[in-house]
Amino acid sequence: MKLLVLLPFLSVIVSALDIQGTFAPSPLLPNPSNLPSSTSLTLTTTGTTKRTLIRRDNTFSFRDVPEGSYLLDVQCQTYQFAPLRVDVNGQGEVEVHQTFRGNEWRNKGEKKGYPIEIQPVRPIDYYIVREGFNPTKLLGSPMILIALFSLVMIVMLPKLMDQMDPEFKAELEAQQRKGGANTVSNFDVAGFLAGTSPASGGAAPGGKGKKN
Amino acid sequence: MRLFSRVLSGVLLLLPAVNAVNKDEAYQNDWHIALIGASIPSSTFFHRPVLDAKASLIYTLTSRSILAAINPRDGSIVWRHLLGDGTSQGVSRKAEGAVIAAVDRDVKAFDAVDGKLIWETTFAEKVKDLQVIGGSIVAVLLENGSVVKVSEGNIAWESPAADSRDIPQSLSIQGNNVFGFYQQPSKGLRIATISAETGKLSSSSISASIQPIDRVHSSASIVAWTENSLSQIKFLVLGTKASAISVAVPEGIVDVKFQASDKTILVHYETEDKSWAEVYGIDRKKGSVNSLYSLDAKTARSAFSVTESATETYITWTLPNGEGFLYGSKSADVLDSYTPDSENPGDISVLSAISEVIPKMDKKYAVRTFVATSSPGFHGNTYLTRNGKSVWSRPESLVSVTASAWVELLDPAEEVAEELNVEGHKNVVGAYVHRLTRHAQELVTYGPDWFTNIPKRVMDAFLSNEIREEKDGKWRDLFGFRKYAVVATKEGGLAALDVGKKGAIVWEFSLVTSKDAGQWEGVQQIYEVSKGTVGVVTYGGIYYEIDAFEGKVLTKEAIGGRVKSSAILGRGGKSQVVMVVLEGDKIALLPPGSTLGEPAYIVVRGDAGDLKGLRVDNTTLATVKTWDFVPQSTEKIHSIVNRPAHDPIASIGKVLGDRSVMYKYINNNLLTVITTDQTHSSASIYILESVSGIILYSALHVGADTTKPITATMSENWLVYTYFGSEEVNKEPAAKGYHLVVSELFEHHLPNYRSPLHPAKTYSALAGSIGRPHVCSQSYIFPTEITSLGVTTTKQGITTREVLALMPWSSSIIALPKRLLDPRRPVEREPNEAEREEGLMKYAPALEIDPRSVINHKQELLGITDIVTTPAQLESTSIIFAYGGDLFGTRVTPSMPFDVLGKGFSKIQLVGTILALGVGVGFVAPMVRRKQINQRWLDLVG
Repeated sequence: MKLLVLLPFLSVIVSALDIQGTFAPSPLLPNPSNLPSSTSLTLTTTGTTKRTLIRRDNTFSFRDVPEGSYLLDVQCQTYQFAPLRVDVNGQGEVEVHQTFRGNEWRNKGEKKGYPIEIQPVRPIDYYIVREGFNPTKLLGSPMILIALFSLVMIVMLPKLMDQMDPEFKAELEAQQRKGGANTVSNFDVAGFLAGTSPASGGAAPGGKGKKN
Repeated sequence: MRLFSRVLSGVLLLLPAVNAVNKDEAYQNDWHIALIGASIPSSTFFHRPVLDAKASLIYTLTSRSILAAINPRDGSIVWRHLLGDGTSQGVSRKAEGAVIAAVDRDVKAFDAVDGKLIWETTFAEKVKDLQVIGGSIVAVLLENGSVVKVSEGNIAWESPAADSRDIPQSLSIQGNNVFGFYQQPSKGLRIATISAETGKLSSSSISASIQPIDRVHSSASIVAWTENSLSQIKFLVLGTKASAISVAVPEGIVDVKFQASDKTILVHYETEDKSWAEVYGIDRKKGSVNSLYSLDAKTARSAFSVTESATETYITWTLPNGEGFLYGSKSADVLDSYTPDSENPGDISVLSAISEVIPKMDKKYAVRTFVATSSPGFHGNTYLTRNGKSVWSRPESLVSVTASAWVELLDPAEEVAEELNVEGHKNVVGAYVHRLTRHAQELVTYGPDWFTNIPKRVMDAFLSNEIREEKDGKWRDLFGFRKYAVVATKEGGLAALDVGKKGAIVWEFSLVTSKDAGQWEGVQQIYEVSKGTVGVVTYGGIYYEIDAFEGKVLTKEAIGGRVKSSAILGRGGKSQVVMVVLEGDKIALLPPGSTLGEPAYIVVRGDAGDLKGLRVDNTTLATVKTWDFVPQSTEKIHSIVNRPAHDPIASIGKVLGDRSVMYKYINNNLLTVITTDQTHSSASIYILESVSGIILYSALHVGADTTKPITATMSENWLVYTYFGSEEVNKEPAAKGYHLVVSELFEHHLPNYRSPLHPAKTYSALAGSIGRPHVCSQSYIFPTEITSLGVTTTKQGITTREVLALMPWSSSIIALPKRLLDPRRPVEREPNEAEREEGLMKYAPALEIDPRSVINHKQELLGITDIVTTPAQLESTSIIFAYGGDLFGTRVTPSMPFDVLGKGFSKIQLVGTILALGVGVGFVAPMVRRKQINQRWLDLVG
């Protein structure tokens, strides 16, 4: 008797079926009930787009999905989710695979179980926080450390010098008087910006400038 | 040196790749008005979200298919869902802890507290009516007449209509019976009685001559309907054997509405200028209806609400001017009356007024009424009154904005410019005297204020407070962040929104009156024709000039035919000319009396699905066809995109890493035509030169889904478009998903080479000499559907551009930097040094959505159709306004705010550093001095 009642619906079941899944708890999101009510899922293929919302019991269901190969996406305000590939074949079987955007569609990823379990990839943060003035961070920065070090050296070095051997000191001073041209002060800024090498001896073999 | 350049490019990459929303600027620079549209009266109600909740919320389903929960305290939206495409009607009903809504073929139940979906089900037919049997069990009446019982989303039984020719009207639930009411073609009313338990149907019919304008209303205890085009009312008490009771309708009635509670039914009569109600009691034992009282007529277009509180039935009557009256169910005595603080202005009608009445001690009542109004041009504005006092209002009519125009505010410095102009025409002494008097005058008028405000200004500057608006109203601020957006609603209303001031409505004005609202065909376009004046072109063929600061009509003129399209011609000078194409390709110039300096070339869509180039003669305005573009027989033109009106190009070339230059193909007459071919499932993109009609570039995308949105935007020398690509293209596997394609036009494919036309002194597109661009393209996979694209614009075009993409599924707008969408990104190899220096990244086929580029951050934008942009006075900043559903405005700085000190710049820190340095110098200076003196002595001694 029951079978007889079902008969008219059988044709419907063969050509289309429901796809079900849950938002499973994960370390990133222990309680999926915290997802906003606007969290939606889309099942897309050429010609059709099906859209549904997350349910109160953290499940979802697409009704009457015809045979085909679909892309399942989740849109959420608070968490990002990875896309999935959902294949519905003529026998009413559902296969779920991980998929990667920008690849050929036949490149399937890791096979997933059915019913689908969805877990977020990462939480969404919309904002950048402006870094305010932070004295401890300032002290930790390399520039300030170098400055502090040189300050200490300026104060300490003369005292160290005083304690040094007088002969070595004299030698050092003599060396300092001779000095040497600082290579950095010769840097040709204009030449650099123009893309030409310093005009040392005309054509620089490694120059990347293009003269025309 | 190489090391240095590597360090430099490294630094460039270290800079944030995108312009993101700063946490302290969120909700400061941007604003969002969440709109839902006009409430459907029978689907709007107060309801306690959970049984023992103290306060109730307002639940409403709107004509835009949005189901929303509104907090009656402040009018904020607790939750909302877009249930359809925004065009179909629906019904919503309250259930225990839930709200159940039916739109189109779907029935969905939502948790009343947080709006989470509980269950949903889809039928093969559209849903006509829905009633709650109890708990989460509902009965649904379908368009084909079937009645279905749905329990927790599963079909319990389905009872087909007794006669498939019957037109289903409504559904009632009484005890264990479901009643379905059908209008029979043979002048009868069929009443189908179905057992809620078994779905067993028994039907009866009574004769009733129901005409199209007649009404049928059913409640749990009674069905009432009008007959013979509102000439007779009939009541039939359900569940009894009694026959229908007939009441004659008075003369001159234009509308009859019914509202019923368990024991009372109210008949609301409307004539042209009056409205009143008759209240009847229902005797369910005898099956009879007896008149209780009738109310004296008051002004027309009012609304009644029948509310049950405890065992008592209350009736509230809301008049268009805001007055309200409270009645009991026994007599016509007014229990309480309310007069508003301020009378509603103008020609308002009350669409619906839903009340919640709570009786208090000493015959006092707490009455809250949620009122939806309609006035010419503005349909569906809502407000809430508490005991007659208006608590909040929502501008729901602006949900249907179809066109907008930016209005530049006045520059306070312009006055000075005029004064200086006066001086230029005087002799030296006169000019000097003039200037002296002007300065003295300014000192007297502005001086005292300026001096008294100095401490405040300094404090504000130090504490990094928002710069206080020195000028208000029509005077623009220093940075030009304030601009008006003049918008037009579908119903014919105009409104000016101050985009720099959180979208505040400056003025509202209606182009239609209640008399001619029937003939209204919509606004074709709005233009800023001169400073402070907007020109509005309507499809019906009327041109209005309106003062953009006051909202007053300056001129109104008939154009002389129905309007097909229009465009503003940039002719320089203070006022501009609008060219209108009328039906039959006639041309009109606006404002009337304008002239065309030289022949114009325009592009119009032909009636046969083609595209035509027309030459408009400058004296006779006669048109000659210069070219036409006929798509393939299976193709049709999907959309046409051209460059924005304000689209400055700062540099004619793009400097590459090795200092060579790729010259941009710059042409003001670029036009993109998208055609779709449904039979072959493909989309084609053509870039045309609009004067000569020459096709510069075309691309065919096989496997493009023509049923999904295809959208494009153009700026400078590039084009960005999106479509959905299938998994197979020409039997070759492809990437399935939404594609985002960028094409950029250059003069030559080699750097430092210019187009062959470059040496020529003059060349004309009319002769076909336009050169052929070299087009670079790259395609990306985008994670989600895009329904609209926009592009940022700045004053000089020096700032890089961002492509704004509207993503309806995630209800947000993302800003994609143009640098990311550079078609010259190296493919399958790491960028070399020169490319890195240029800022090119390695091509990656998939674009991921970076949440920091979402310009609306946590706000959900529903129903938006268009994104428009305009430059601010600061070169770094572009102002954005999005409309079509919700209204959203913000400003972005695609190349970071390089010309203004950001909030991160702390003046206190700067002063602190200077002081600390001063103190340090004070300490060190004596030491250094001592050391220098010692040194000299030592030298002398040495």
